Amino acid sequence: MTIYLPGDVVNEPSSSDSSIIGYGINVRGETKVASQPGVYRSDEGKMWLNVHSKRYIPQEGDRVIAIVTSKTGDFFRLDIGTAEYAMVNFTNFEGATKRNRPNLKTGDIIYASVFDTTPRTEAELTCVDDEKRARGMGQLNGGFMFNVSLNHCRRLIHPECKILQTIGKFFKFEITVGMNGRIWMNAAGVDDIIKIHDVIVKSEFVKEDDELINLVQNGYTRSVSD
Amino acid sequence: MRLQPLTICEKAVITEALKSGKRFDFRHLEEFREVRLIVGAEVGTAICSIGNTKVMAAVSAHIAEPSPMRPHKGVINIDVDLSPMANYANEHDRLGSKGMELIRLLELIIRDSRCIDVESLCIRAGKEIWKIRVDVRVLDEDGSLLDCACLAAITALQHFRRPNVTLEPHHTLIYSEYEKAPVPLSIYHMPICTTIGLLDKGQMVVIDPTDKEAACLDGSIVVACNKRKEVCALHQSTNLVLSTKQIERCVKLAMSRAEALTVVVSDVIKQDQKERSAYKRPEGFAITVPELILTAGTAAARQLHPDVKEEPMEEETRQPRAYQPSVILN
Repeated sequence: MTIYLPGDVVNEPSSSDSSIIGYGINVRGETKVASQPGVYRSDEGKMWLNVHSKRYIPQEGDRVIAIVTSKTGDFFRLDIGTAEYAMVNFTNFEGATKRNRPNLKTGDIIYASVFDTTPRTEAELTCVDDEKRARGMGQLNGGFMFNVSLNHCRRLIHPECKILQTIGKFFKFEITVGMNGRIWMNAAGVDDIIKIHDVIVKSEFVKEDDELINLVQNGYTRSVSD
Repeated sequence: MRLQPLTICEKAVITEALKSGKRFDFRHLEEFREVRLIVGAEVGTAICSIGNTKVMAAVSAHIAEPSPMRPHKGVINIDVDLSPMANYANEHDRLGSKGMELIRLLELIIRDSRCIDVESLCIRAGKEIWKIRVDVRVLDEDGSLLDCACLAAITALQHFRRPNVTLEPHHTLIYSEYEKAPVPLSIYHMPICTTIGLLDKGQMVVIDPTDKEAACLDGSIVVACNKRKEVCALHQSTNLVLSTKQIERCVKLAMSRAEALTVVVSDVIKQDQKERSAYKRPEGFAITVPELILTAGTAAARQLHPDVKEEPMEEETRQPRAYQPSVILN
């Protein structure tokens, strides 16, 4: 395990054949420089730094949860938790045309992917892939949204992470994890939403499997109203 | 920077939950969050946290000339700093409407309720008085900010000791704490604030709302009172029409809260005094440091306890490594 601080040159033996450079690493010509303090991780042609942070920095290809803040011209202005606002074009929704515009209000949330992060401009998002299909992106209806730290989000969607699986054994729920630290979820009732919210937030500091099962079990049996 | 806007879905779920008497932190509608009160190693400092809200207060005193209108009265100044650290919607060195509301109310509660005997702060009438300065620094914001700030300020004032002075015919002698024991301020009563959120046009009360809850509420009412059941300040943040009965109910809630918290404050002060008189070194704010700081290492589910690779290195380079054990272990 190697820890890099911002400005350090990332010099790992496996880094030369990595084609996908992830969070926390900037490419400057031939060298790779860490832009965030964190732990180096790599996996089959991917490399990234695991950073504890709450502030999101947009990266192309990330799926994020965005809040609509206003409409301007052909764009929706979105809040994705970055310093600047982000934009999404009206036509970048599945089935949308010039005439048939998506009906989004201020305060609605959408699940979208970042496709343009040119420096010094607002990040641009899209709700369709290259084939103009939504593939799960678009408006999120109902449910509840909350924030956790960015590395907890990355942990939740890790294929080997047991947290969501364990919760799924006790509750019925839908979940969408944005890379910008936002989680949207929906469950049968307010009670379940409150319980799952509590379990997910608390699971950030849980390390062992037994501990996790205990946490979820306690969350399940706990009553919200007393 | 701006604040994350409140989404429609959040508002709907939180309002629905509140109306059925449920809250996201498993509290009752009439239940307070846990209050933690810590006094510092330095006299006149205190950190108070209510849930995630955290405020630090520091009291200092210096000698100044009184105003000609009040030649034998000391002065209490209150200074509030709402830093971007607490909430990134805050701007540095600019208070904004929320900060102005906070500072006005703190002045109202601490200075204008006359809980501190300002006449005892006079050294020489018309010439020298003690000027007490209360610095309130907001470290983290999650609702009930005024409660927390007020409690921190009151505790710091209780904890504060000003240097002892003696008057000579032509000059004043100020003693250090080693020569003569410093003197506490004379405080008549402890006003304690309680924020009560109002829902359903004031039909329902939500005590001690968090930031998210406060954004979904119709408004809130702040009651400051002391353990002698005297109301020191009453402030309503929105123009909601409330009936006398509703206000009476809020005041009753605030009074029981004030009684409970007065006990906490005096316990903390008493405990600290006991330790100080036994020449025990005060622990101060060191105990507030959280144990879990970094979680980045736990992020990959399978690599929860990675082996720490001990690289062979020279003695000189080994030294700085000792400063970052929390990074490696996590």
